[in-house]
Amino acid sequence: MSEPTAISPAPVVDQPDTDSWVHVAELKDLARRKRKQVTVGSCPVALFLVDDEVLAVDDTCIHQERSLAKGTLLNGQVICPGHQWKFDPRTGEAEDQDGRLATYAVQVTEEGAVLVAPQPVTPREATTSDSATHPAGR
Amino acid sequence: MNPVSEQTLVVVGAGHVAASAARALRRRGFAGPVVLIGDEPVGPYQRPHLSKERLSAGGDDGLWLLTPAWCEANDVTLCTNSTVERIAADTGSVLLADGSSIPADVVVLATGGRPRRLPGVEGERVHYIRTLADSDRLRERLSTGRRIGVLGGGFLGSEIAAAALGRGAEVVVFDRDPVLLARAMGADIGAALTGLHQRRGIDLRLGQAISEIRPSADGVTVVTESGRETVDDLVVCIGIQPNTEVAVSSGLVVGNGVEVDAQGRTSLPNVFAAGDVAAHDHPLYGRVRVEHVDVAQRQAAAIAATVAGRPSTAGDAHWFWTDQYDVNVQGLGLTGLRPTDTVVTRGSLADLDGTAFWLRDGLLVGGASIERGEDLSVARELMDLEIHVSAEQLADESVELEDLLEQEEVTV
Ligand SMILES: Cc1cc2nc3c(=O)[nH]c(=O)nc-3n(C[C@H](O)[C@H](O)[C@H](O)COP(=O)(O)OP(=O)(O)OC[C@H]3O[C@@H](n4cnc5c(N)ncnc54)[C@H](O)[C@@H]3O)c2cc1C
Ligand code: FES
Repeated sequence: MSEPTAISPAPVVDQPDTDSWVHVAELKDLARRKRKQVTVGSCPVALFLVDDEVLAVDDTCIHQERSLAKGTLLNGQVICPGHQWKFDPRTGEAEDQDGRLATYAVQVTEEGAVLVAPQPVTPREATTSDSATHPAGR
Repeated sequence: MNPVSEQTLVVVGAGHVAASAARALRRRGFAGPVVLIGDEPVGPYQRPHLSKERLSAGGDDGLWLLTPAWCEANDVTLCTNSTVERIAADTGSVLLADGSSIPADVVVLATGGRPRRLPGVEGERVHYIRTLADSDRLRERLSTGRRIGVLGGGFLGSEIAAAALGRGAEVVVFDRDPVLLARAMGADIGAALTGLHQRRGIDLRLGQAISEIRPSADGVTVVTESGRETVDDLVVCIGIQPNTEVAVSSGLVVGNGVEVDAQGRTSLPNVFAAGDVAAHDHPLYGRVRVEHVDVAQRQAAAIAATVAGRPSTAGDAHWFWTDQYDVNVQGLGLTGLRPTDTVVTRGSLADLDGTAFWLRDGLLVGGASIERGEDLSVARELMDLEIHVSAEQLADESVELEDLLEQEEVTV
């Protein structure tokens, strides 16, 4: 089993407090579908494996609360199954929409344990009103 | 005349196209003034809410498409309560019914459509739903103990039936088709959604022609082959007709809608049309007029890109969604289906958890899903990349659809 203490303390001011990393999954859980819904504290979080990097954002869509882990990962973008809004899992931003998903810091230990910091790096912001459907093509 | 960079763009009709065009123009760096002229008393709003959130619960969460602050910050002028009569291309202006005129170098005609009405079926107890005012008036009638009739079991009728039931009303749906939504979404999805409405308690009177409708002071009587039914209020949802009057008086070529090319250009230079009013020459489907928000938005975005200097066409597969109760239903590419296409089912449509795919010559041409929007995201990619897939792969749930994207060079 991995120990959260195995991770070196964060040297940079912006880094989240490493004492409370939550062990949510194993890297191998993401190998096949590249996505997984986990819970951090009481908050549903979606993990995505993009270019060998694990990214974590709110699982609950800012539009109408569908689960993004049930969505599709295409070209590094997450597409919500609800109404096909597209999100960048690195920033939590929705393409051509106001609002954003919270993003969370992720660590993967040498043993392949996926740890998520419970406090978001960037907060969730509600969407105002641009569109009920996925954004018009650029 | 303004220099090219400072052209004025006027959108006639302040609905979905207007809102999307305004946003896309600014995103694209269009520098000139943008004026949206609409005949409704309010600015652009989410029309789909009118048969869903707004009808069920009132309130305006997520209703407005443009905020006054955004318009102010982006030099977008919104004129409400303003009816346009004609585009005068020769003088570069848009003429209003009140006699005033607004200068315009580029015009986007986006007047949408209006409900098709039945002659003589009018009055206090009859409803046609297109505007916020229509939806708000109907909501007042949807309450416990009232019996509401819905004529037409398409998207609008079935959504309104669900909302009415949710507000405690008794609901009767009349349609001459034996299955709800089958024409739009195929027989299997139609049957699944018909079952859903039946189980929720909608009284379905399907497969019967209506011979007479008699509105009176106490109710509306609907006469079918099998008898008569009196309801407190009747909502008539039998489709729309495009608002082509402005186009006709401006001299544009009009057939089933304003005829536009793939870029959205009408028969007059610098006049474009999009949305429900436009009969678009689609690269995949040929000339077709579609009544879906996503299509309106994509057409508006393509016009905005073209006007801002990067010629674009709206050539994507058509996509739409409908929410029936808490069940999410989506369709992709259904405009172009042919009777000879092979239908393949993945999951279980009857259990409201599945997708129907349509195949032609080993290529995916469309999909419709119940509670599986994720299948359609992959389907769009499979269609765009023209990846060959087999019926067996699509039907086999142990095959991840995303994995099909990786098998690009399959020879058939
Ligand atoms: C109740 C309802 C529910 C719907 N649900 C869905 C859904 O779930 N999914 C989906 O994809 N689509 C749905 N649609 C269809 C969708 O709303 C339309 O496709 C979309 O509104 C088209 O946008 P538009 O800009 O072409 O027209 P509109 O949004 O109708 O805007 C046109 C505007 O122009 C105004 N206008 C007309 N003539 C003039 C004139 N001479 N001068 C000034 N203004 C004028 C009209 O009053 C209107 O405000 C629904 C439609 C309705 C009515
Ligand atoms: S719920 Fe995510 S796009 Fe609608």
